[in-house]
Formats: sequence, structure tokens, C-alpha cells
Amino acid sequence: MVKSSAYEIAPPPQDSVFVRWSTLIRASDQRAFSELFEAMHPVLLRYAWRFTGEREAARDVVQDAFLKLWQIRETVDPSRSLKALLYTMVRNLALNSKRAAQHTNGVFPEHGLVDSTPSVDQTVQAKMLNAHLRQCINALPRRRREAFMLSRYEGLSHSEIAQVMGLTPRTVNTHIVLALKDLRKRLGTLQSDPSP
Amino acid sequence: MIDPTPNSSKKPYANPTDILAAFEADTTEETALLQDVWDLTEGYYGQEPEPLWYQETGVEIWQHLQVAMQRGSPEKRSPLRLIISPWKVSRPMRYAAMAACIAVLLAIGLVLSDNPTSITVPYGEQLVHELPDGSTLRLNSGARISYDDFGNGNRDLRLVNGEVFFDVAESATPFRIYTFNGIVTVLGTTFNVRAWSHETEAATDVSVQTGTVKLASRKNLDDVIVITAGHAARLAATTNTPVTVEMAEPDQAISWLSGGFKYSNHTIGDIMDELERRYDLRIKVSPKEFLNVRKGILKENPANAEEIIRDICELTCVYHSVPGGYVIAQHENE
Repeated sequence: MVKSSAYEIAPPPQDSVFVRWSTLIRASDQRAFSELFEAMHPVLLRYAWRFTGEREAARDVVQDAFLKLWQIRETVDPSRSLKALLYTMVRNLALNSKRAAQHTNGVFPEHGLVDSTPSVDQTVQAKMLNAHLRQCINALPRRRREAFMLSRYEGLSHSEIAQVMGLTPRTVNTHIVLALKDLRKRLGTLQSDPSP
Repeated sequence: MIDPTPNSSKKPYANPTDILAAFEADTTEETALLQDVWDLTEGYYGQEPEPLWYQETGVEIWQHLQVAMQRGSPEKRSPLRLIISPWKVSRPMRYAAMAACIAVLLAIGLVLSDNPTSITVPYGEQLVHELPDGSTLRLNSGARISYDDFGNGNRDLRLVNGEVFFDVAESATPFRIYTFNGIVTVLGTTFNVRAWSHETEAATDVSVQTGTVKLASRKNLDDVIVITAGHAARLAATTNTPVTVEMAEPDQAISWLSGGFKYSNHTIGDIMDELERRYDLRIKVSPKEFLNVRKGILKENPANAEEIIRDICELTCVYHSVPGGYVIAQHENE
């Protein structure tokens, strides 16, 4: 019954739902808060896990983020993205937790990059491509890489990334375009290989 | 009542076309090249945590959050508590709610894959949604469904929470609905499914209009019941065994389709939840014990929420309207 494809986390709902939640949570509505938690905790756990590379740390970070959100609920601004606010809190808490753990360099860690348990249907060539891909992405400048990864792997919009990283949407666009151009150059050699 | 434009469906993750449209690339040729890179960068993350980790960790975190929320809850400021929330009803209920939460998360992994579509109906609205196979769904207020590459050899969808009336197009491919605790399988028929995982007596309720429907427990797929036209079955979260149920009125389960509001032998808490969703209201009830009192309400065509509340209260409670909703208080002599 379960599909063979990789586990996919349910995507966050549309923006209007977040606006509704913001308004209700501001008024201390616990049910809206529980709905927000139910909808967002899987994506945030995944984000925090990717960030910290540790399950314990990811759990603490997500828990602290929601706790903090509840504490500051009366100051939540419904005109700003609640989703981006959660990502921002998770990001900053994860950065702090990494600093505490003395992993100071690099926004995204090298964990999960070593394919310890490769999927069975992955060809040798695909594995080489992925290893090369990781090298290329990890070689990007730190902020550029983060903007690109928030867009590519967390599915955030330009304006959400702008809010999370404290940039203008235009700068976010520049970062991502430059990241893609850079990656195109670096990946170019592999792309021209005949692959199955 | 029914909104004919199912425009709340949305691709969850920004896809390259959306993103690249946002880019200020120099030429279209360049955009195409960037699109290639976008596609190539898919495999960055290797092995990610297994689904169970997300579920268990979610429950663990929620337990902590509840403690913190109770500590600084708004009840000190207001004599009326906002109690219509699963974790406030009673301690055992909290665990039931958490169990339901796990079940919902469990459901998430099953139906989704590459390109999930999810639809959430805003409070106060209802939607009609047509699936690629020609099946039609009518979604009641607050319902949430999602599905992925529907029609490519599968007709699986997930009813995350809520109530939906299905008119399933006939096909050799089985049409499957995953709820928080059950799986409903059909070939082509019309029926209603209601599955609110946080209700006092959370269950998947299936009521069949035409044809035949199978309802199975997710815990035990062999535990199946076959429901024929005019009959209904219930899969309670507590037992996880499907059983047939007798309805007070034959069409009670689908009365919502024609603007009715019919719930027999439900708790006040669950009825108020339903009212909040249907009319996009907030309702405060006191004392909290009143939420667990059972009531039946059978309204064919109520003009508004107040008409329903008036009937429910009758001799047992008083109500008054406040901006955005109602405050209900049980009579002291009850």
C-alpha cells in the first residue's frame, strides 16, 4: 500500500491560511496554534535537521521556535508572513545551537552528504552526479548558497527568503540567479556526459 | 452556498517555472539553461529521517508546548475560557488528540509523492472540486484533502481532516481515501466521508448513497466492512474496528450538502466545532463540563448559526452574540 517513492512531507497550506492563523494566534487562539503546529512541524523539523544534522538538536530547535512564537503571539503581525517568521526563528535557533556545538563554519553542514545508505535504484553514475552536485553547492558563497537552498529545497518564495535572511527580494533574486549560473558552470562537465 | 471555483488548490513547493519566472534573467535562452540546473540540483539531500521520526518528534514537542501554553493561558484574564480545543477538554482527551495527531501524520506519507496538491476549505465556505478522473468532490467547511499524481495508475487521496461528499467516476482502478485511521475503497459510487481526528469521539464515518464502499482500518487492513447503498459505518479511533451504524434519519449524513445541520448524539464541544467551521465563527462555552454534554440537533434548513444555537440552548443554556461569534453559558441549575 505504501508507495516506493521517498517519504514526502505534506506541503504547507496556502498563504491565506497563514494570515488567518496569524490573526487568531494573536488573540491567543490555541486551536489555531495547534493547526499551525500540525501543518508546519514536519517541514520545520526537516529544515532544522538539514541545518543541524542532528535529530536531538532539530527537535529542540523546533520546540523552542513554537514556544517562542506562543510567548510573543500578541506581537505577531498578520501582514507579515507567519511562515517566514517560523523559518526565521528556526534558522536563528539552529545557528545558535550550532555555534554552541562549535560548528561555526558553513550554514549547511556536510551531513547527509555522504551517501551512507544509497537508494537501491540509484545508478553509479547518478551517485557520482550527486556527489559532484554536493561539492558544487557547498562551494558556493555562504549567503548565496543559503538563498538558493531556501528556494530550491525549502520551497520558500523570494519574499519569504527576503524576510528570513533580512534582504530585499531583489537581492534574493540576484543571489539565486548567480548561484544557478555558478552551478551551471561547475556542473557543465557532467551535464555533457551521456547519462542513461 | 457552494463555491464553484476550486481555486484553493495550489502547488506546494515553488516549482522551477514559478521560480524562474521570478528571476530577472537576461534572455529566455538563459532561463532555459537555469531551468536545467534547477532540475539537476534535485539530489542534494541523501537519506533523510524516516517518517516515524517526524511523527514521534511532533507528538513529543506538542506535549511540551501544551504544558507551556497551560501555564500562560489566557484564562486568567477572562472568566470564559476558550475551551473548544481538543487538549482542553480533559486529560485523557489530550492523549486521544495526540494519538489522532500521529494518525494524521501517518496518513501524510502514504498518499503524497512527487507533486502533491492540497486543498483547504476556508471556514464559512464549501467547495466543489473535480479530480482528473472525472470524480467530483464536495468539501464541507474546514476540510483538507491532498493527493499527488492522481490518475497515473492510482486514484489515492488523503482526507487529512473534515467531511467530503464523493461522486466517484467508474473505473477499474480502485479509488482510495486515506483518513487518519481508515481506508475507504470504491470503484464508482456516491458516498459521504467524515473524519475529524480531534473530535471527542474521533472516527471515520462513511455513509453510502449509491453503489458499494469498503471501509478498512489502517491498523489492520484485513479488518474490512462492506457498506451498501443507504447504509453507514463507523471506524472509531478508540476501537479501530469498522462497524455498521444506524442513522436517525437516512439522509442525515449528507444533509450538509443542502444546507442542513444535523448531528444526533454529539457532544456540545463537537457541535460547536462544526458550527464554527460552517459559519466561520468563534464560540466560547462555559463551564467546560458543558462541552461534554450530549445533544442532538436536526435542522433541515437553518437561516443562520443563531437559529441553531437557540435550538441547542433552549432550556439548558443562555447565549449572546459578540463580535465574530457567540458566548454560551450553561444555566446554573442544570
